[in-house]
Amino acid sequence: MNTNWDQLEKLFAAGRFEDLNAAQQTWVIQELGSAEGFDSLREIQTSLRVSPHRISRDEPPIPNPKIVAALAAKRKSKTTFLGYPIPLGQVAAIALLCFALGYLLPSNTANDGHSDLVAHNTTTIWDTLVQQAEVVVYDTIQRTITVNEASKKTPFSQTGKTVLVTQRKGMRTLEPSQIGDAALLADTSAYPIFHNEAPQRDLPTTRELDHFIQEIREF
Amino acid sequence: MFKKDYSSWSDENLIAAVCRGQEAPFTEVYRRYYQRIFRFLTGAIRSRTTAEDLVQEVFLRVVQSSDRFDPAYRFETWIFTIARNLVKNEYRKRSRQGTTTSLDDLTFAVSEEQLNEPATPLWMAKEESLFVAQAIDRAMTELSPEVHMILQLRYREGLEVNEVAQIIGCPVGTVKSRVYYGLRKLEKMLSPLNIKP
Repeated sequence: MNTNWDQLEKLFAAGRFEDLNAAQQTWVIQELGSAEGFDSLREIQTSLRVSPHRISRDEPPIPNPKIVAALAAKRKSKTTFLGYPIPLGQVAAIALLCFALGYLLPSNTANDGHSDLVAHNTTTIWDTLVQQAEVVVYDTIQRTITVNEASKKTPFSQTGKTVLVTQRKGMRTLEPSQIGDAALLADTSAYPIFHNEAPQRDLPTTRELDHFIQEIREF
Repeated sequence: MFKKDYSSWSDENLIAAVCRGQEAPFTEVYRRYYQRIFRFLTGAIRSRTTAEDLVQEVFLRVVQSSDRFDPAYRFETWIFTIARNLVKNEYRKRSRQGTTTSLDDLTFAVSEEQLNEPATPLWMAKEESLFVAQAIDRAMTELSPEVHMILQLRYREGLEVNEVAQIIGCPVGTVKSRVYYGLRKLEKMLSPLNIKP
């Protein structure tokens, strides 16, 4: 049926029955029974096709108030922020203003070099604080270990072998004979502590250490 | 303040603007499709008053569902599908009320047996010399709503067979056979009146 219908539609487009060739006419007679049937079906089809030209040109009636309300609801939903009754335009303007303020303020201070100075000072203060804290911690640990080691009678101390006391990276090796406040303070092989370069920042000099211990005691 | 001209806009662009709640693009869509949808519904529902209400319902759904419209498809197919669904609902409602059978029951109203029956006499008189188009319009009201809708979409709205199938919700082959039976039925109805299109 479908194939026949497709064929018939093609023949309708080709013209009236008399316009068809002999083979097509034979096929039409087989399918529809008569030439009149073909012509009349074709004419009906043509009439149906041309009828849209008879569409009324009258203006359509005013749309239902429900439609107008639905449109208004659409408009409202598109101009609010996350469903809240805040106009989207205002939200965007506030966001833009905040962004601009956040962007403009640091760039103004950077222009006169003030921010560089602040950054440099901050780094210096921080480094000093950290270094001082390290000294205090070092001193506390060193004293504790020294006292502990001194109180022990280990076989190593008796045989005179080196006792390794490692608290943190870069700490030196102490001889058993050096254990004690006096020995520690008298030691001159400690590394300077107030130095900007990390590899050299291990142990303070005796004088520096003495100075800080003094300060801590006073404190 | 000049008024924007939407007459050159495509349906798809208009519906994108309707999506944002713009009234003027909607008015253009309404102007373009009101008569077509009204004619389609009148033919299917056979009630002018109900059809007028349903046209408004179609456009209300267009506005409400405009977000869901897929621009990959034609707007024309989409709006006629909405109209067809409303026709189906209307027939379901009538069926519940017992005023008529459902649309599905009327689907194959034009059958081989009917084609072989004597043609249904039309109420119009020959001496009134009605125009052929009017005669066809009246003859079409004798067809089942389903066949009426298919013929209307295929010929009066100029849609392709596959688009009609999409709107009606049936296979392409079914649309073709219904078109054929519909035309044969019209031919049977028109021939006793000696109306030569």
